Amino acid sequence: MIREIINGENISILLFFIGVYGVCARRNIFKTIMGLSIMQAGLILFFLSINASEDAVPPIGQDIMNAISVSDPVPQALMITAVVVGISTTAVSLTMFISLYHKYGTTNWNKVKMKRGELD
Amino acid sequence: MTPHLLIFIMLPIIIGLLLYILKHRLIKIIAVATEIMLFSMSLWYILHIGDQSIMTLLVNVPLPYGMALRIDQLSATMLLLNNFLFLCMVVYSLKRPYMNKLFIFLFLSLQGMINALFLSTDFFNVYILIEVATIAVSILIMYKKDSQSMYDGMIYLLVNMVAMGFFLLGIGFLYKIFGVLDFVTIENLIPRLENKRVLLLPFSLLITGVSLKAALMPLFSWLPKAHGTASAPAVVSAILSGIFVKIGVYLLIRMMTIFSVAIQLQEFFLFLGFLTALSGFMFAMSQSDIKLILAYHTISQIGLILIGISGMKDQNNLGGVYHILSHGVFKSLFFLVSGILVQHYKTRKIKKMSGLWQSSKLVSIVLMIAILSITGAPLFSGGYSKYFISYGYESELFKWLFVIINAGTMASFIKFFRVIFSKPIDEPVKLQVDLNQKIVIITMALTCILLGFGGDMIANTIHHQPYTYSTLSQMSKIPVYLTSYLVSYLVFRYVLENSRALKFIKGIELSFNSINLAIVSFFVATLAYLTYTF
Repeated sequence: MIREIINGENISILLFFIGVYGVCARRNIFKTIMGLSIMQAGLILFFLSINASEDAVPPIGQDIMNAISVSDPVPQALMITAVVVGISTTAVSLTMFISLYHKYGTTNWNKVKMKRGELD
Repeated sequence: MTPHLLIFIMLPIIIGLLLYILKHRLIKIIAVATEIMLFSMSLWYILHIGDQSIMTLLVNVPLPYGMALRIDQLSATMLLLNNFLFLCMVVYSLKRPYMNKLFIFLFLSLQGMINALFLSTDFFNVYILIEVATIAVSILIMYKKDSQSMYDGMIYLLVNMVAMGFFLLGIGFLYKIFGVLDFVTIENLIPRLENKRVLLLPFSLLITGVSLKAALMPLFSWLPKAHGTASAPAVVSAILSGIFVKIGVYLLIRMMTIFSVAIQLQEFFLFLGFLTALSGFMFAMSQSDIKLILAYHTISQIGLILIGISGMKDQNNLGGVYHILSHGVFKSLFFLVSGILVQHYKTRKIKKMSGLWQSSKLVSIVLMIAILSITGAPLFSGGYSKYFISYGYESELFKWLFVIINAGTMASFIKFFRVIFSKPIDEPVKLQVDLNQKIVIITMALTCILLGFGGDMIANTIHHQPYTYSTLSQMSKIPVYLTSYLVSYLVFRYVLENSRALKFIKGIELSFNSINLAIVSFFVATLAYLTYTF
């Protein structure tokens, strides 16, 4: 029973919503960026575990002829792109975070918001 | 011969990249020539497309396996608007100091990506294009580095990434159900699905992502920060409000057509549209920063567009699409003029600007045309589209809602009339506008008039059904318009202007965490509504 519940899909959805909790509840900017990365990790795991089965073989090479089932290559190809995009967005937001920190001297969203309000 | 659709995407990106690498004197001329070519191509398409749709395969594999670009009446309209705006913006910023090769590269690639979004037929491509465009936009927002811009750009980037995370999860569920990701095949497969309830979860996830892009009611907090930021050049704000936010609306239309067999959400969106329109102008009224007024007003107009596209009648849908066009033109014009004004008066506070009529007749007239268009004056673009948006509503409640929305729009632009007609505080200084800027703002003002005056002609080109709202019947609306303007002026002047409610509304600003909480609540509410009504 428990073995059936703990599969890739459920874990990935759990991970996704842990990430969502992170961006909703953490005031620390750095931790929200981490939350976003966790969301992306969950998404990647979700795509890879769609329609996955243990006895499937990779869709390449000689064994394909006598295999019972072949794993779906499309989600994997999609996820390579998503990994690249995810890494670059994380990199951009971390860079922005560094320069934000130099300007405001704090890592707290609410304090940054207050200081920005004073500037107007 | 049909021009290949790939040109729309690749040409601006390649030219931008080349201009970035090669240091040539003629950079700006090449950029303008590219823009003119793209604009004439999209003009060609809108004139020839008619009812049909043209599909181009990108690889020699048929659709469920390969990828394709598709153009139909809706996407041709959006392409026309996009390329028209980019042409105007590039010409406008020819002599501006920020116009260097990095800016041209980012700007032209953004154009290519927006074009690609309108042509794309695949959920995953849409996701990737939106993510990359979001990064490009957040760099453009922070282009003139100053102290506020980091916060604005970061909120924009992170909030959009969270929403796109929801979108991607929705795509994952769709793939799990269908095993394909392109619009055409999914649309064909939905009627054959036995248990349509499985669509509710992916649909509400997708709608959450797209609604944030379109800045619907609870999810608009990022928009004024991004569109109204001081650090972005006026052309960037113009593009953001003119076309970029319409990507969300465009995707909403597409999704509503794709899922229309299984899921009907018209009433839900109609409700959201009214809510968005009402809250947008209330926020706009309370602001005193010229760019923020315009940015909040974009929200209100998005609400109107949403009312149009989710209306029950065919005329309403035409009005919604037409309002995308007219709002794109007049809001960009507003942002350009606001850029000129900020430069001239050296302040962003609208109350400190005065006596524009004495400084420059031309800019005053252009600004007046823009105000008349946005407030829905007869014979101007806004009036034409608002007539169709509010077409055919019988009940008193809806009629009053439209009246309130219109009056709110009028009231929030009274401040702009004051800029033009108030007495100058100091000796009026002549306002200098470069020749290329003059050409652009005059062209756009004329387009506003053309969209109203020649409305029937254009509406027949972008919509397959001939509906008409003739010049004569437009003219008969003039007294109504003037009376309602007078009433809204009096109400604004004596009731609202210094009221406590507006000050309270001005103080509302969601923090990053609350914006994300709003996204999650929107998702839960959509899912609950769908589950309950299905």
